[in-house]
Amino acid sequence: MGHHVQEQLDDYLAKLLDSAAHANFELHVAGCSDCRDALTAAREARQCMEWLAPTEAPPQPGPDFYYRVAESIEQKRTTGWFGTLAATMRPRLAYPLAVLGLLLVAWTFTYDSRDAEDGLIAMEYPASEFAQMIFSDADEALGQDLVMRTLVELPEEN
Amino acid sequence: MPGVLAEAPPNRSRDWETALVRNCQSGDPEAFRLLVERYQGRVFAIAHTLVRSHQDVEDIAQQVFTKVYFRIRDFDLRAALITWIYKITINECYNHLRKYRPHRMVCVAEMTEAEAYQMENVPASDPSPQRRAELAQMVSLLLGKVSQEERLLLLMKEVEGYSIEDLARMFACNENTVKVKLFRARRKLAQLARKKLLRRR
Repeated sequence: MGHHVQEQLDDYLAKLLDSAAHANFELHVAGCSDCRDALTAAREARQCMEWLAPTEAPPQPGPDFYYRVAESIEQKRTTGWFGTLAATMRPRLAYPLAVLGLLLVAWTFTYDSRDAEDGLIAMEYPASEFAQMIFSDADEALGQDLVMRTLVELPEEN
Repeated sequence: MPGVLAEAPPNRSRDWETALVRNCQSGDPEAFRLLVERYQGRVFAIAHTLVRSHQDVEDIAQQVFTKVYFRIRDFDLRAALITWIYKITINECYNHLRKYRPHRMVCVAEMTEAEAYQMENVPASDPSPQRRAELAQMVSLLLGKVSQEERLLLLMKEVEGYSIEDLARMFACNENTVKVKLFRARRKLAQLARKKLLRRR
């Protein structure tokens, strides 16, 4: 039933069906609630869309319109990716976000180095002794093994 | 049939369009100027349908062609060039409406029952130009709630007046597919209109 409506609905609304097809369509719609609903929906949508059709003529592009487009292209080229991002996000959001991003990057870099220095100072190790503390591969494997055993052999708590 | 398609037979028009796009893709400024001159009228018209302010229409058209310039390399010529330009125009219009909606757009929820009734039942020619512009904005708002493709189809069919045959050619699909998609788009718009406009009666 719906198939018939989908094929002929548009021609019916545009009054393009011949008289026999038109009569058949109306006969079908009268006996089929699905098709009747579809026709009602299509009419309502068309009625809504009618409001959009402007009564006045659209503005015409001026003789310098192309140059304005060319200017806009040139401007976009020079602003680069950040300019595009800023234009998409609105400047009032993009600039604070950019500053925040820069602060975050700066903090990330300074945080690690300061932390390592503080650690060395707190342990009061001279640099030469600290260098000797670096584990060999074998020590590292032994350490892992020790950790595994400890985990396995850990007695259950009561 | 709207101007752009009516000027030349389909095959010749298609060849011309392909050559134009290829030249634009290779960075030929003269080809881009030709593209702007060819399609600027249609872009102004569709933008004027959705956004009634003359100044805004020009700004939107400028943005549309700037986007066309930067994105033409991605255009694969499967659908018609005008369909792609329409799509960019409609998206640009909705970006604009979203941006300025608090100041310029009437909210559907603010309509009185009488106004909702008028919108559904009064012939399109009756109200004042001011009121008509407001109602047009309300329909723009409703159209903003259907999918991008459905919005494009509805505007091209009901406002721009393209036939099913034209649309099938422009969207590179068969006529039945266009009819089915159009049918679904209309049904969705009608449901939205009923939900938004009639629930307060």
